[in-house]
Amino acid sequence: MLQKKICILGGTGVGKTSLVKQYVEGIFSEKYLTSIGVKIDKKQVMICPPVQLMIWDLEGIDKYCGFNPRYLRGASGMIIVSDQTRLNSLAESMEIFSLAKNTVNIPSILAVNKTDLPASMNWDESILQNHANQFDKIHFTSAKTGLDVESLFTSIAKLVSA
Amino acid sequence: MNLSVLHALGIADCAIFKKIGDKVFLLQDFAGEWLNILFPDVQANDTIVIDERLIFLSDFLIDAEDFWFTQHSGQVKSGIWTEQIIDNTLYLEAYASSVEGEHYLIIRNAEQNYYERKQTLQIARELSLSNSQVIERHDYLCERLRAILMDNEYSDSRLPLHEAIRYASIGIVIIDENLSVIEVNPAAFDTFDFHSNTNHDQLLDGVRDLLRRQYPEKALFTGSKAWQGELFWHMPPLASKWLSVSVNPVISPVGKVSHWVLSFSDQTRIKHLLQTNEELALHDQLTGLPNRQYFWQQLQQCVVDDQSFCLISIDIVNFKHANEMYGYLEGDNLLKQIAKRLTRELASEDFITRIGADEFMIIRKCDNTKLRVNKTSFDVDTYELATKLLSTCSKPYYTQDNRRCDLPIKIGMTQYPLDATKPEVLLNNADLALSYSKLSNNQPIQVYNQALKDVSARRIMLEEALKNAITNNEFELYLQPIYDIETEHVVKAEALLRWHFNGEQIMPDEFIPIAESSDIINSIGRWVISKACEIAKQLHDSRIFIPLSINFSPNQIYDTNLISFIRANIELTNIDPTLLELEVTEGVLVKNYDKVSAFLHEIKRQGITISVDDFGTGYSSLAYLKHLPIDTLKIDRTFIQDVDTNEDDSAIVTAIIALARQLKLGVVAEGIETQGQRDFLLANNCSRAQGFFYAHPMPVNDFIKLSSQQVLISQYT
Repeated sequence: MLQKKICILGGTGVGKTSLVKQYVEGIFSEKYLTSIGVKIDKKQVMICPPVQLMIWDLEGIDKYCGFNPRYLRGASGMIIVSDQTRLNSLAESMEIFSLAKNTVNIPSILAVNKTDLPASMNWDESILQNHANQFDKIHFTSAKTGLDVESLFTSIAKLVSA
Repeated sequence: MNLSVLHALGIADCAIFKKIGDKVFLLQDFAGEWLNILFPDVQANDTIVIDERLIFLSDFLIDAEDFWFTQHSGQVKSGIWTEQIIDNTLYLEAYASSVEGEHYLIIRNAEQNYYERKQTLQIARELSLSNSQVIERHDYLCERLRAILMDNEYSDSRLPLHEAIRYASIGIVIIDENLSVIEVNPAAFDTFDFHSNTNHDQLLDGVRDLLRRQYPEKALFTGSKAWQGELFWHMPPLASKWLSVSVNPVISPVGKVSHWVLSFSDQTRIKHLLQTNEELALHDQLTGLPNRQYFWQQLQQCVVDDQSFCLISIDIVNFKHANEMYGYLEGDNLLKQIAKRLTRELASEDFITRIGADEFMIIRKCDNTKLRVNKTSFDVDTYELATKLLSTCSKPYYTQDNRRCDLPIKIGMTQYPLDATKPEVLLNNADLALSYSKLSNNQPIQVYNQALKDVSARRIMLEEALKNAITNNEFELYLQPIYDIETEHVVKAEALLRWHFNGEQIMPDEFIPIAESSDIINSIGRWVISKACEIAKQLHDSRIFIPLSINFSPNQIYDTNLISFIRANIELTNIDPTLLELEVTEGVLVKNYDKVSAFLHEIKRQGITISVDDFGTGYSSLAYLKHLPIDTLKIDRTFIQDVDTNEDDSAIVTAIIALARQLKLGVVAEGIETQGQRDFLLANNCSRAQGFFYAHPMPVNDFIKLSSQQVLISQYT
């Protein structure tokens, strides 16, 4: 079966691990638990032809953990996760995306997560739209309710198999 | 490999594999049962193959192979990863190393390290997220309230304001310029556990009292400066809370503080988390240096001990721009580098703190007798240290993707007990000295002295007077003609602001920075726009049909509703908007690009043209020329000064002219003072110029006379 490496990138607390957990195990926890290092999960996506995603869930990039381009080596696609309850998170995501683009040229999706919560009061749709065309796709997800999570990973699977 | 080598590598609870082939290794030594989860039934001297089953490890082997091929010393490591094998979870880290020509792969059980790191970062990241949410909530509410108050909606009805704050989760108190409470939301009462029918003034008095006692060095509500900080509120035996507090002024269109917006939110949980980790409580999370609280303890202790010392205040020049250009993550990385460089120059007994976002403070203890005897000069050793700090920080920094970044520093210094004996006064002195070194182009180190205090007093006096300058009718717009070099006709004019105060004409170089630092700039900016529209109308009525350019301050980008203000003035005076031009500096274009871009495109839609002032002195990125609706470049006077004698300047000027031509932009040379400069520009196809060679800035009536003569001449020639 076709195997594809997908990297999940984003700032701290945006819900990267929660998205992966919801997708792979169908579990969500309200409690924020910070990730350390890298964890790899596998899941088959039943598209034609079927593809096995190797999902690299990377530690949130912040002042305590810098961006490590090495983890992107061999990746076929990336999902940049942003938290719509904090406007600053979108700016962080774009910074991380810019660092990643300097390393690899692969399909990318922006996941605007936590849509079950009210968006940041400062959230401005026009700012998001300004960045939208830099990605192959945008998904508005909720790791909590599962909204758009399955389709997020199906989209990246299709993008990297095309 | 024997145990001594194991210890030499500094690794325990690990498995050591010797490379014997492509992805094939011989297990030499190991400690711990965990290895059998990774490689079932493996024993010493067994051979293993690292295949695709172990995804992370196979990926790391690419780095390891690269290391073994090119390096002969040191090691490369993978970073921690989590390996889930059936129901077992392992936290591992791999190293590649070479000893005596043999290549080794070491896999370490990093479980302890994983949990330690997780525990520390869990707290740190929760704090970070909470802080970011609190700041966002404060910023949003304050901006919204300012907009409501600025638009004078409040004067007609309290409803919009009342509604805006009623359901806010953070406490809000709005007071007028006389410090009388005019609106309080329920969350403010909740914050202090007051009943909602408590007297409003009682609430405000309590807050002001806390601010006075906990921040004695801050003169809040006296000028027009915003402030953010923390307050500890204690109501024995009921409760105590840590509050995050913001104090924001609202400046009226005439430049006076019309209201103050105070906002509070409960930070107790964050503080509790901090207290559970002493390291985080007294140290800055980013740089690991002591934080503000720790610094105050040290400063007060030095004063109590009557220990002579010097206080060195350090500010990083342009750090905000670096943050904007390279991003906040890279900015954090640069701050760590700066902290390391500064620390490297210090003696072990020096105390350094990161006191603000891009500010550091050093306490250097001095010889008591020496500092007190020599009362006329600053401590020589400390001055030498400041020079060293300046030198080490003048070297370039590099971002993670190897982009060069220059972040020089400015320094302000004061000494105890000669300059002051109270900690808050010393801090003010150091800040004052620093603020003057920041204003100076050639004195990056400034020592506090009486003259500085006098200059500061003048600045405070001017700041107060500026607030009344519009209502007292003290401003005037002068016009400086811009000429067509070939025809020598006036083709445009720049409006330049003059302030007549107490019989003195104060130049913009002195009062604009004061206005910009105190928010009065928006009122002045609006006055200039409305006056310029009136003058444009006056010129039109005098049959002088030339564009009038006005300067735009970087801070005006934050003036909400400025576009509608401009539109209203154009409509009021019924002038042709194409006869107005906005001059922006390169700094404006680089700061807050998205906002500036939207603003300039809207300006352009109104028909107003845009020129870039002081071109060439700002930032090297010229991408904005392509994306922003710019019409004209104004070459900075510093390049024109020696353009006919200095090869570098002439090369720069001709390059700018060529660039403008390629981009189909107009070009104006600023600061022409000699015939030689004029001839050079004419020979190099620069068609327009402005400067004393042609005319000084002049009152409007003089300008009309000058231009009318030109109209007459051109009619008869």
